[in-house]
Amino acid sequence: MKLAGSVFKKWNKKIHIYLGLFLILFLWVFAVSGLFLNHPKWFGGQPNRVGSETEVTMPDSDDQLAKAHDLMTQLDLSGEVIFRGTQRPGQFAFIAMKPNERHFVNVTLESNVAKITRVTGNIGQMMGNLHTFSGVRPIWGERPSVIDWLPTRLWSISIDALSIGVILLVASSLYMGFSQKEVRRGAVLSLIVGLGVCSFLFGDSSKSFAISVRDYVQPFGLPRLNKTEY
Amino acid sequence: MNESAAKRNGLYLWSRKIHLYLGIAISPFLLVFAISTLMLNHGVTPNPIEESSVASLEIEDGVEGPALVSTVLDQLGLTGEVVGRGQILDGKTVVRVSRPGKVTVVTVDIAAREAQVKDRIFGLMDTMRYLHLNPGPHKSPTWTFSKLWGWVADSTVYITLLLTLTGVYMWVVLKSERRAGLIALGSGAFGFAIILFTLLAL
Repeated sequence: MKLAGSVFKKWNKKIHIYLGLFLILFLWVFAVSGLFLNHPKWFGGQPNRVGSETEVTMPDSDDQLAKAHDLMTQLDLSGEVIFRGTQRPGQFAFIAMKPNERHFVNVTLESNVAKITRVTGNIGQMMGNLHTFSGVRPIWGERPSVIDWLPTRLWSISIDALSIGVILLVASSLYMGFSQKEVRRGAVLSLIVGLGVCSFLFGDSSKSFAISVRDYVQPFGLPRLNKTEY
Repeated sequence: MNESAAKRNGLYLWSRKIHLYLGIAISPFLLVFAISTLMLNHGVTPNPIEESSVASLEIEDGVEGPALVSTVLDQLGLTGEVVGRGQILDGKTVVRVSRPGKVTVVTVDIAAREAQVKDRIFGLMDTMRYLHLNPGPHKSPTWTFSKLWGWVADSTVYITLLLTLTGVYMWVVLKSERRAGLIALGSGAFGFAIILFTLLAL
């Protein structure tokens, strides 16, 4: 039993080190870009916009995404396709989005002329785009969001991996803190301080916690209150 | 300097203390960001409970704008991040008050001296999502709590960066972990570079 404990302790430390090193660049990007998003003035300034027009052949497909991909091939564009809301009559519009550039494509169906606006930003704006690239797409007015570009899929998987990795790093650090007698008191004190600040910031969400519990037990027969979509 | 001597030096000992204690102290915040990131990345939308009530108000004639907003909020005992300038349209004004776990929308009928109060109460997960998205690039917080949360979010970033630096330093000192650590660091960097290249250059 004692041996199993010491083996777990040893591997817990190793996993903490290896996981931390593996994820360090991802962690830096998301930490720094999060900071930039909280301070947009640090990298202020308007993005550059360059417009152009070209004739295209409008594809016959009924599938909007297939149409957009066909047009992107004609226009030599790449990126994630984003549709903003519903299409205007007589037009077909979408955004070909990459973290470092966006192409706003707007085809007039009568003339088959595509207006393309290429928008590029500074490093701060690019970092912000990396931070929000796949997760928060409703900010572009797109519902529902469908990931349609392989790099976005990979980035999305990286975001999941980073989140799960951070949870594991936290769990392993808590284990290390509490399993060593000489640092246990300090570790408990640190956790109390952290939890104290965190619970203060959650304010009156003790009620929220009750709601979460209630949601969890609801399938077991408790009545559900009036729930609405946000 | 050999490994055991290096582990006894002041910088290593301080790095270890900082890494352990600060890491544990910010662990609740790291969990908030990590869990909410999973929700955001998978398009989990908030699912609040809605409660409605009606309250009578005492509003003096001619009150409009910020004065009207503060009168309404004072009488209803509401605090939070306020959206609404107190402009009266069709005899009504709408004020939205947000705070972690709760959004209240107050529609004031000026002539009837009455407020319809709609509370949207969010669960713990949605509260984490709210905290993750705030203050964000499009909001200038005015409520003290929001400002405080902005500072805490920034501090979490600074401390996380410090933790990575102390972590790397301690790993460098640990000779026994150097080879495996290099493989972990190298494979992470390789994966990161490949994905970033495909995102930016393809």
